[in-house]
Amino acid sequence: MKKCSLFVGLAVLFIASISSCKGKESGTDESFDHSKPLTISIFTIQQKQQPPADNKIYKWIKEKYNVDFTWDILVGDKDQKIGVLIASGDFPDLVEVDSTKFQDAGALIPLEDLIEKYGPNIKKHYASAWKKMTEDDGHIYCLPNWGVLDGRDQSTYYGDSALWLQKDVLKEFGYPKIKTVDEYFDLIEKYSKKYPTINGMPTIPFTILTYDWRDFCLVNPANFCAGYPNDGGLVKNVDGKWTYLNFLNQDISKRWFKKLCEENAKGIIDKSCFVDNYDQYIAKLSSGRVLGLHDQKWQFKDAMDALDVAKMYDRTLAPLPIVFDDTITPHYRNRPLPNIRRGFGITTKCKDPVRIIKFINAQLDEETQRILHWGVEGEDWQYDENHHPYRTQKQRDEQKDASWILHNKADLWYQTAPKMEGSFSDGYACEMNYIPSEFLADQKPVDVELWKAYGVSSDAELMDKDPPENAPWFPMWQEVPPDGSDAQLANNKCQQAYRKYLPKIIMGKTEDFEKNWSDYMKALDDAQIGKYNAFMQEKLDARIAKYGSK
Amino acid sequence: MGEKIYMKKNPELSVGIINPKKTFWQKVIKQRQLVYMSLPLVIYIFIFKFVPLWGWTMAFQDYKPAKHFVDQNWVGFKWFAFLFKDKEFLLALRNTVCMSIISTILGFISAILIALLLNELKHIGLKRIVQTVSYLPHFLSWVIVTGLVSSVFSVEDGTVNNILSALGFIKSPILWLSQPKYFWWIVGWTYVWKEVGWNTIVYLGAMTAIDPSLYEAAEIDGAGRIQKMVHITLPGIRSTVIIMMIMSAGHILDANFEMPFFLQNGMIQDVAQTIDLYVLRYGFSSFNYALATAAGIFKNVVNIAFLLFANWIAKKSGEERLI
Repeated sequence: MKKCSLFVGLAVLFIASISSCKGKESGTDESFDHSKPLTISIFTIQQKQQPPADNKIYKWIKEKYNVDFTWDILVGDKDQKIGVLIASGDFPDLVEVDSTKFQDAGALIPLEDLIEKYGPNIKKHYASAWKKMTEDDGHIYCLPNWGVLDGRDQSTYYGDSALWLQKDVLKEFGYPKIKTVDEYFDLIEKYSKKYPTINGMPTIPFTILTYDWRDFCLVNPANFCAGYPNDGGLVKNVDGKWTYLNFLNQDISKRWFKKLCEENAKGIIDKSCFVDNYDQYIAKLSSGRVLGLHDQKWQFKDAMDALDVAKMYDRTLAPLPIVFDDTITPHYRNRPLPNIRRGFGITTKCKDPVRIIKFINAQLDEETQRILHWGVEGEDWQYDENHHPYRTQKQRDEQKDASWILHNKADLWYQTAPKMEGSFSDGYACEMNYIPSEFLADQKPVDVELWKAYGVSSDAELMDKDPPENAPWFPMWQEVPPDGSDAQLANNKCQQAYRKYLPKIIMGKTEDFEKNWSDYMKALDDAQIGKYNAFMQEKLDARIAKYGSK
Repeated sequence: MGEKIYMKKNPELSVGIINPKKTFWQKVIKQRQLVYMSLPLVIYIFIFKFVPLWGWTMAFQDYKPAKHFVDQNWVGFKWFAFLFKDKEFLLALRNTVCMSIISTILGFISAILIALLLNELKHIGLKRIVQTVSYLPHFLSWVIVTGLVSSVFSVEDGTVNNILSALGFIKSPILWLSQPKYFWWIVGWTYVWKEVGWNTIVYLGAMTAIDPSLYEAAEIDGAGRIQKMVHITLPGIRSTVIIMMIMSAGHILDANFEMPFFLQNGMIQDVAQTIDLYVLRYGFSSFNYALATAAGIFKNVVNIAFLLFANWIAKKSGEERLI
């Protein structure tokens, strides 16, 4: 009996000591106290290697902040692993959030009060996205990893929608300024007439990706050619009310498909594109025979890489902001969007959230950010005599070398953690590749020549030098009808309808166009397109109520 | 051997005057070794084939994945009613039945025909070569086969278009895979190409079991080759054919999944959509599990009904049967 009570007493003492540890706060002061070590455990969905112990940047972080990390790196199926984590309740301090799963399971703690109290840098960084980060219950659970800008957007990469044209076509005709759909197809017609074969195979003047869910390439162009941004529909001010319209059944679509039908009669449209799958599409593009298409770059990047490897640089494609006519201002490029619900969240199992918030706050200062983005001065980059940062060719090559990165960059932390984007206070881009001199030094001559001809310095500028501010509701495509709803069903049926009718319309005779088009409109009505639009209107109204309309 | 022991230990059985219920349990006890041996299989079938049937309850609910069973909203036959009002489902049903019938009939005729011809071959080496070559495609996966089909029928340098235009039948290449009228036949003949060699094996096996003296007798009576085929070989494999037919009747709504799945495109969706694709589309892409389950149940019920029906017909006409 005596033994037993002693045991209980010890246990009580032990628990008390643990809970007292837990309750300890490191003061209300914002600054991060680096006299005590801090180990942060993190679950990440990036499938990368564990950083080695001698990693340069993690060592630097350890020296400066006395912080190190233990990584739980995802292996295998993501949703399964997250499900297991949630079911076990055994969370690390931070988890990389990519959906509402952790939040729905009550695994995350609200961050807004912690940030207000201990994270002035965090608050400043996320000020522009604050409203969007706030969930419907009024709390913030996750710090977006990308898309929140400090300073000016200097990105040079363009990966969004465009009408793409083979660089050799532009070169052949001396880099003409083309703006309209008619000019675009004229150029394609002239070129394909002149060169009916490329590398011994027939030239494919214009192709369309129509396979499976990727078939947005079939229906989206009309939206962009009419000067609307990538909203997933048209948001128009109709009699003073912001109205969601589905571009599928609007006149702009009719205009686009009429043009395609006419071009098909001239043999410009690739016939087999309506039966080809995605692999066949990539194969065609990799052969360098395709002159034009509408798509987003990430879908066909593999094909462009293949052309580069084959040294057929002229056969790669350049994006162009083509519209229906001169009166329309193109709006292909939009400003970066905060990557809502993607990034670190602090779990309920975290012992000292305050210190972690303080650390995240501290690493958002410029010195640390420069180390994380650019690397160590004198090793990964240096200033020239004009105090202009640059890299040597060797340093540039290292930045592309996976095993070098593993030892010399804090990639796992950097990819998901809150970070500065845009520019530093001295005006240089946070991403070293976006500094124009650095960027151009790493480009192929064909691109440099093309940009020079159009007076720009990157694909992004070629599309739009200074894209207008995003509308508060943008982008509406984030709204997806719930499973099993009528709106979802209607959307599904509309998809079936355009998959069936649009190929017929494009490949049909030009004189049958009106009849085919009205059949298609009827099919969309039968699919109850209105129910989907009503859902989107409701969501648009909600967004306007939350974020305003200007 | 077993029967002998049986007779010895249960003399009353042979007179047949005993309570049948008691006999059953006595039988079970007597044959307990056999029962033990089959037990694992029964357990296997129970766990993997019967327990999942519990999932069929989803078809009668507005099923929501995160909710507990008792919290689900029961809706009776709502989803079944929805199915039969949905034009898309009815189309899928029609396509499944038609594709299945075309493939089955072509498959039967071609397999029996080739088995008959092979059986007539006297040159063993040639016979083996033909057999081996014809059943090789069976070992290709459907993904590869559909890849072959789409390149053979392609407009760009496709074999079929090349041959037809070389022979002067067509002026410009035809988009074979975009024309609804060709699709079922492409599926049917591809099935024949892939499976015919494999399907002949069972018939060739049945033919070896025919008593050679029948052929000799027929020859003495002056029967020719064709007559021997029609009057001896075919009746000789009739029972095998019937069994195979009953078995395939149970798969009438199981039309090949892969071919339509990989070859479908917008222009032929009205003829290419099958029940399986419908289930995939609504069940897994839109997470409407209830609707998908209802479609799956319907499919199984029809399959079982066909199986029983075919079996019943066979029984009525005094043929071999499965159950």
